[in-house]
Amino acid sequence: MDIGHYFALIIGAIFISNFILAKFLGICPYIGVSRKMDSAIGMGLAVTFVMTLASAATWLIYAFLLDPETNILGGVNLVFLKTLSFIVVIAALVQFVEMVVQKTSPVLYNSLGIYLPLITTNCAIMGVTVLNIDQQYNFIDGLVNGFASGLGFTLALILMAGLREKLDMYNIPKPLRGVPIAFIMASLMSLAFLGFSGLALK
Amino acid sequence: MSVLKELTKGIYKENPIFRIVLGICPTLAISTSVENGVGMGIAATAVLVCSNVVISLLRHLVPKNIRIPIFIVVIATFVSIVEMLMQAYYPALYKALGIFVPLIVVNCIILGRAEAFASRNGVFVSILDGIGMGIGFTLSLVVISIIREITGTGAFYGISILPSSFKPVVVMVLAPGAFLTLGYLLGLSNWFDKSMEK
Amino acid sequence: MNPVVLYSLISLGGLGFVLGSMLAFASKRFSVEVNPLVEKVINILPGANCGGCGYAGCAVYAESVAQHGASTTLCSPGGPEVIQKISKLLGIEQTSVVRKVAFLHCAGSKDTAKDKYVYDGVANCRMAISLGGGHKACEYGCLGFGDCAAVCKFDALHMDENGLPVVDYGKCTACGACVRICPIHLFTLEPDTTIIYLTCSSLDRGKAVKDVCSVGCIGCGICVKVTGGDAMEMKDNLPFIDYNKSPNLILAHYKCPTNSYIDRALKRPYMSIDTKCKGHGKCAEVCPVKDCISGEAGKPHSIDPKKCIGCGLCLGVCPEKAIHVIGAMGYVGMDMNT
Repeated sequence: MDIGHYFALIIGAIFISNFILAKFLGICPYIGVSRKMDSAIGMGLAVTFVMTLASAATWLIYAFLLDPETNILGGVNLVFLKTLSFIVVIAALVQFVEMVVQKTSPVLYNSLGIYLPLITTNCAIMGVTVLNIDQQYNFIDGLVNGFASGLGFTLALILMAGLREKLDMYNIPKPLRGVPIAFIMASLMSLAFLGFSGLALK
Repeated sequence: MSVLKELTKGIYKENPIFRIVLGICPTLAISTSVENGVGMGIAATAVLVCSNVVISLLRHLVPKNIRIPIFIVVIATFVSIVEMLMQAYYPALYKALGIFVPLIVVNCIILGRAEAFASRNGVFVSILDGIGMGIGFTLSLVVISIIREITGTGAFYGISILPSSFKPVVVMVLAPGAFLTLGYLLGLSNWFDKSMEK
Repeated sequence: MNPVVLYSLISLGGLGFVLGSMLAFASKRFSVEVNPLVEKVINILPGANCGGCGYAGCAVYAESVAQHGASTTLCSPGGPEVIQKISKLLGIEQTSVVRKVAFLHCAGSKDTAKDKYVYDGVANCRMAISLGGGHKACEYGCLGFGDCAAVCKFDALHMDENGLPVVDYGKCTACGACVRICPIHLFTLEPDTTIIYLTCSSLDRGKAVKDVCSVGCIGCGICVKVTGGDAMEMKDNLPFIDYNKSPNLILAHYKCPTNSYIDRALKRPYMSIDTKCKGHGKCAEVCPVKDCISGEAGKPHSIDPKKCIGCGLCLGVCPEKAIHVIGAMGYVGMDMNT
């Protein structure tokens, strides 16, 4: 077990290729949920959880059903079914998580509101599953990547929520209030994270 | 409900990016050059129109509580088709757009229009709506791409139009530039909206 | 058949079947019964989602009331009407509820209170207080940037030109937003029947207060002495008043050396002596106002209506019962129909 390898993977996913600030995946909840710290944390954790599960499930489906080199269907090339099967799995997973959360923790369910079913159309989840395949990660690498990307997403969300809570107190020009100023702040955060791009971990 | 109105509403009144604020992820990532912007816009429009047609045809047959997964399956099928066509005939564009081609599936615009329009209206109107929204999306992408490409590389559609003494602001084609451009354009659109109201 | 077509049909079909069964199982195992009562309560509530009840929105409060036995009296924006309806729906006996409004316990305006430095920063109370406790020389004073007015959802708080927030008692629903947001905790929710209230929250005493504010409470304790009863208590150089006990604060308002009480009434009823007066003079003995009651011993006395503060002390002591109350109270900003 090469700890260094996983460390590089985790740092890479959280800082260097941060899903929101470097890859532009998951912007809609980023703008929608980052108004208050509580909902930001809840959304971030929910997304991390779904990302990890989705990475595992989709990797298995790709390996056992779609990839001609490893599937159990006698080498038939079903790679073209990747998009369709992945999104179906993700949608089912999110629905499942929603039902479990509604039953076990109504408080969390109420605070996340409509954002829970919206995780289905969250590009970040679909993005991480497709990226795992494109970058040819094995199962463990894919799982770690999914989890770490979720953490990076949560980090960006928390940073943004903290800033936006303070932003309410300032006198911003009317046209820029709300979403535009959030984007401008995101650009400054993204500039900061750009500094990580020179980091290369072996 | 005139044909012209349906086709043009996506350009200003119901512009998906600036008014409804949907489909932001590909907007930010793709708009590094006008060529990419146009390519993505056309691909998304194609998927939008095709899925609108199918969903509109199926609208009376789909049970209410499983409609979202069914919409997603229909959209995913068309995205896979577009993906394969692009990979075969426009490999350079396919490479440039990267993972955002399969991500058209989760483009909120397409699911949003399916839910809000195609599932409640006839086939012909849904086609017009798809084209209208697609045009709006493409035009918005092009506007953002023009700003980013010209300031970031001094070129337009790959052709250098600014003098070589102009030092390109490289950050504009990187992540921060995307957020900045979109933020200011949204602010501009808000301001314009308010002053039109008066 | 082409193996690709066959296998794609099988694998997608199989996937769909597996996922579908999983979801069907989950929907049975994790099903949540929605109580129709909750829906009815939600329809009764005003739907402002102000959080005044202490729950995160009307829907959450409705669920707590319908299913977890939360108190039905918590919705103040809804008022007594909503409370009655909810109680009736749930079959709970409901005694009448007192209407409350928000009171600001500070009168330190630009004219009365001094600043300790010139503040040139973000015009926000919560921000200003982080700079050495704010720019007001009195650390318990209102900073006047209007965080409270901005957060009020019912348009009941406005900043006046002196730099103090003014409560519109007709519109205030006692939701508590201003109470929670004021960084100096100057607001409290008291019964709407409170006409006179204390406008200072300073825990300093004597010269320290007089140096920084001309209407601040110096902690002399006179108000507690003249009011008596158990509703007031001097603590930390400030009278702590239980407004729920409706203490008569007319004397406190009159006797306070620094004018630290505000009287919402524009005018008060005054006392008048009628012809039954035999000149005992007991009223003049108890009257707190100088030269208000005049008259020689044995001769009929009279009360100067302009000087009378309406405290009513004379009413009880007259042996002939010759004193009555004339006139009615005139209020500022109170809905006379409630």
